[in-house]
Amino acid sequence: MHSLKFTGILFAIFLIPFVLRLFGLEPYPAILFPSGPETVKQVNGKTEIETKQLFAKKQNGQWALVEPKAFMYPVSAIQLAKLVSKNMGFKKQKPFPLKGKIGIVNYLYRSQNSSSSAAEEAELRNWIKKRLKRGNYQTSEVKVATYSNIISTTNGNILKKELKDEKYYNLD
Amino acid sequence: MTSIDKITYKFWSAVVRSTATNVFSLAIFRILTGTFLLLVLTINYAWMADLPLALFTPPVLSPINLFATGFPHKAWLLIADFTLLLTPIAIILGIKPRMATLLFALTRLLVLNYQYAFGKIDHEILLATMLVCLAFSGWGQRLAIWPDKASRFDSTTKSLALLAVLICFGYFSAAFEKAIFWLNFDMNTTGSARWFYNSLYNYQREPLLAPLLKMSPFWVFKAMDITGVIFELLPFAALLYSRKLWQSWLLLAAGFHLVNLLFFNINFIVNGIVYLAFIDYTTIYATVRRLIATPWFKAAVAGIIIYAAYVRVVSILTFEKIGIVFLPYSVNMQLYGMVSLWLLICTTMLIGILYSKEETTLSRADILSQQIHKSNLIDHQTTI
Repeated sequence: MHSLKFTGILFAIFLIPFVLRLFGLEPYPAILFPSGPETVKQVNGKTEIETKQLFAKKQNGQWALVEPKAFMYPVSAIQLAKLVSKNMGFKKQKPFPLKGKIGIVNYLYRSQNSSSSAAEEAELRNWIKKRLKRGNYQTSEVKVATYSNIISTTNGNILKKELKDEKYYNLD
Repeated sequence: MTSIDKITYKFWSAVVRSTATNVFSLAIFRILTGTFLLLVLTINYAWMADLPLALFTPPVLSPINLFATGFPHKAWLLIADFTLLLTPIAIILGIKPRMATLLFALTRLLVLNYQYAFGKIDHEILLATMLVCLAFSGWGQRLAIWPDKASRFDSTTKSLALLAVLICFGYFSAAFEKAIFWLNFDMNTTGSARWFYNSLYNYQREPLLAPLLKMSPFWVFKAMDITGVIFELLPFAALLYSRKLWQSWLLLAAGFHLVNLLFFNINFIVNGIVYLAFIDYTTIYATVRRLIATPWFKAAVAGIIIYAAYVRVVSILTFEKIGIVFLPYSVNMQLYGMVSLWLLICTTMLIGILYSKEETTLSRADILSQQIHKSNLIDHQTTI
């Protein structure tokens, strides 16, 4: 049988990451399964969902939706949603926790909170351009559009799609 | 013995009663696991070498955030990919299975850490957890070309008991926040609908049965919220109550994943193999042992392994995705393949439950005799 000491350690191994995640600081690796407790509200048979989509210009100059699978390949298409939600990978300087006074905390947040260097941005632009070229899009610019979608809860279809925000990224 | 000692002892006794099996059963399960890792889990990681450094944002509290400054060189990732190909073959054939199992688990944990540096933790922790637990279960001592020697760390009962408790912990972590926000009488607020519409419109996952759920009344989502959270909160109770109830909950879990795949196109197939660890395969051990001694069976296994290895080597070198080996790589074929695999897992579990005995001789002996357990003799003296 596992000992009391082992059981106590096991409990701590579970509890510490669990509490950290509640504070938005999920560690890895940890015995944590996906949670996602957010909800949607139905009002008069409708509900609202926000979507972000990546657009690029076709060769004729028209903006077109970028097909996630082809664009991201061999990266999983799911990662595109993450990419567009984090400013297409262009990192901006963010304040460090605890006013940046603790060295180890600054070190841990160095990738998350520091801005990209010019060389890193150039590399990222080339990475995006390579993918656009592969999909026969123009490589000079992309945009991320944020929509508010009104969805019918009786048939699940989008009733209205309203543009909330557009962000352009110059790649040249 | 203090009262806290007694509670701990009672707790683990109940867990062992629900989970105990033997090295013969686990040897069969080891072969199943290796086959799964070789034929189903065919994801490669060398593509990460081409990712720009700007995308390197690992989880703040993770090993690579401490030690790495960017994505690894392609050569390292190729070594990792070949490790993830060769170790399952070693696990199937029983070539130093403990070392192969641990190597697979550690490599996968590491490459996933790099993948999550892209910004999303995918919570595929259960497979590595199972492999680490079962590496010390004695599962490599039978049906093996180069079997593991018995180690003082080996314990079939302890490793399965630990795995079961970790599964329960995991589900509790999934349920806790949902229980706070989802369990209420507000019929106009639901979390399942958010998952569904997000799958459909943000991730374009196109689930197989999406049309059915799209037309369903809104209260169906609320019912899914409540049943989902209750299901995720139940495993500890099932585990502590009885072996049959624990196995039934595992069957329910497999069914839950199948529903998730059909309605949300969220696939956690890596969890499926973990649930199968708790089925007792002892009755087929003798048959399997006879079978693998026949020349035609050896030839068939060699053929399958060589073909799968060839397909995977090509995939590693060309970055071409293959999904389930032996199935064409098209979205629909792979999706139907996964549904079939879940149905197979559910069926195996159902058969396992129907033939399951409430309390095995092994677990009874284990609970009654602490002395035997302390020396781990129970794991090595079991006979069929």
